[in-house]
Amino acid sequence: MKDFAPTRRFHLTPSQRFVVLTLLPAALYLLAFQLTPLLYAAYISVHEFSPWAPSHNFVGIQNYVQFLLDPNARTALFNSTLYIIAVVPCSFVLGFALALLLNRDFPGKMAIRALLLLPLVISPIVAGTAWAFIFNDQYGFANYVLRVVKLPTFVWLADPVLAFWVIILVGIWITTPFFFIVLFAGLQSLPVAPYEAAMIDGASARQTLRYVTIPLLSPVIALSVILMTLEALRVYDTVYLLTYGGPGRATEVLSILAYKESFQFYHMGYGASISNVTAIIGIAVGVLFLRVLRRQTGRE
Amino acid sequence: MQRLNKTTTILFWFLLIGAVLVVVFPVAWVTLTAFRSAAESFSPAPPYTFTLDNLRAILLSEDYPVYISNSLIVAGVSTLVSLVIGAVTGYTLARFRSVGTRTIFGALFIFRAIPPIATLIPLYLIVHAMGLYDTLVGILIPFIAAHICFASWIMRGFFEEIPAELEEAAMIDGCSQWGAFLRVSLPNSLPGLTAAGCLMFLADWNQFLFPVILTGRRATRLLTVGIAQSVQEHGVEWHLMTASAVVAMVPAFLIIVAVQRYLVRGLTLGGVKE
Repeated sequence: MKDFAPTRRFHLTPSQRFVVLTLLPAALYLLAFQLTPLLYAAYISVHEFSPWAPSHNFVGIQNYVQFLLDPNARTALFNSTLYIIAVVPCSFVLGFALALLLNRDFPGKMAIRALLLLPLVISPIVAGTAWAFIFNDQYGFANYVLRVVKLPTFVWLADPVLAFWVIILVGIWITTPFFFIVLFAGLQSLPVAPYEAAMIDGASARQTLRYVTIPLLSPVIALSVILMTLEALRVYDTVYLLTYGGPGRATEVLSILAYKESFQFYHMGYGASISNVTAIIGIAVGVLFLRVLRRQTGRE
Repeated sequence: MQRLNKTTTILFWFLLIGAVLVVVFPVAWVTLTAFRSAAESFSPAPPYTFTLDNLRAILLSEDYPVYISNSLIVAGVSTLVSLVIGAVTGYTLARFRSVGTRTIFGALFIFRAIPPIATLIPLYLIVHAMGLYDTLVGILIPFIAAHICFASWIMRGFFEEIPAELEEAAMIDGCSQWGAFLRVSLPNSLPGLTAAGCLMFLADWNQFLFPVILTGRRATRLLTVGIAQSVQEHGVEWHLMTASAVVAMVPAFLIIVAVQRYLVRGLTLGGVKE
């Protein structure tokens, strides 16, 4: 532990100078391009804001009231919530299952792990393109298979309900590899002793999982779930590519709604209030994350 | 690891291959279509004629080479700048523990938790006001902002694993704090720099939200934006869409083959470790 509280006003010790100098670039950059934009967004959201107008009417909380009353906002809030509560748990279960499955030695392990990471490293735009192609109603693979086995086909991405389930499916496809790799790494770093003890006590595989693996992994589980919740909250690219919030406005999520209101309809004040609500949700989840971290480091 | 009997072994491979097929299928299907003739791309049914025409059409087109080089430039510059800032910040956060550094660390995470949409409107206006709208420099601004938080976080994790005794020995021998950082810790953190660098490069290469808002002309368009907008500009041409998607996947393929180990370390460290 090195202390760097200033002793005299303008005289810093070399190590204090080092700390200030190394933290300064990041601090200044974030002040200019992260904190200032956030404050600016707060300003925009309480005005009737048109980007090129010389002055803006102050409207107080009107944009936030509009958010509460707007049926499109209700749809977007519902969709974002549905997306998070469908994608995060499903991806977690699938990723955990994959991690348990791969947690042994077998030929080709590295290659298979690399393949399972693919959805995580390619662009969501590419992923969206791939799935839009598969679920294209005329030329897509999904309807082709249905036609071959003589089942009715669907207009996947033009149906308000089906389209959102396709979006969720793509979300699960992208998120599962993250849970897989993080939990896999967690499993590999677990101590052997508790497992030996469980074996001596004659625990079944299920009991070992329930009473040894899951408790040992619980910090990793908690943190990865929170991180992926944040990721799910910001979903944008795949929705943009698969449906652009359509048909109509049925599959809009919060970020798509904010985007459309700001840059398509130029209601920037309203758009800013939507994105601020999204940010507040994100910050709440982030604070929760830091709490979990603190508790963990406190325990160690 | 317990020994598996025959039934479990068969079940194991069955599940594993099934999972791999589901995960890989969309990527494989796009790749397969990219190498089929234009006429065939409208039906999943055979025949499958191998052709390089689509890829050639993309790579020799007027637009795509510009998009590709834009993406490379922006991702390269943003990664380098963020690595430098992230390394010094991460180092100090790892080595100097106090209320101040702890607060900064917390702030970095809160910034990371805020969805990009929250700064999209103000950054659009700020970039405009700076006269950087529709320039590659304008796109760099939000990229680097996002990366500083991520890179500092991840590099802090890597620096914590380098024993401080190494530096203390060097400092007793007369090395300054900067010397200890530059000559001892930084060379030892090369795996961390590689991991963070690869992840940031990929993230930039894959970025879409900010570039689509901050640019308008073709000359400043990134590859992801080009792919997404080709539908609006040319209608649906699946053979070209899939070929451009294959081009966009190349860096991901290369990185996953070359540095999988570092990538995995970075992902897990950036993800969950404090």
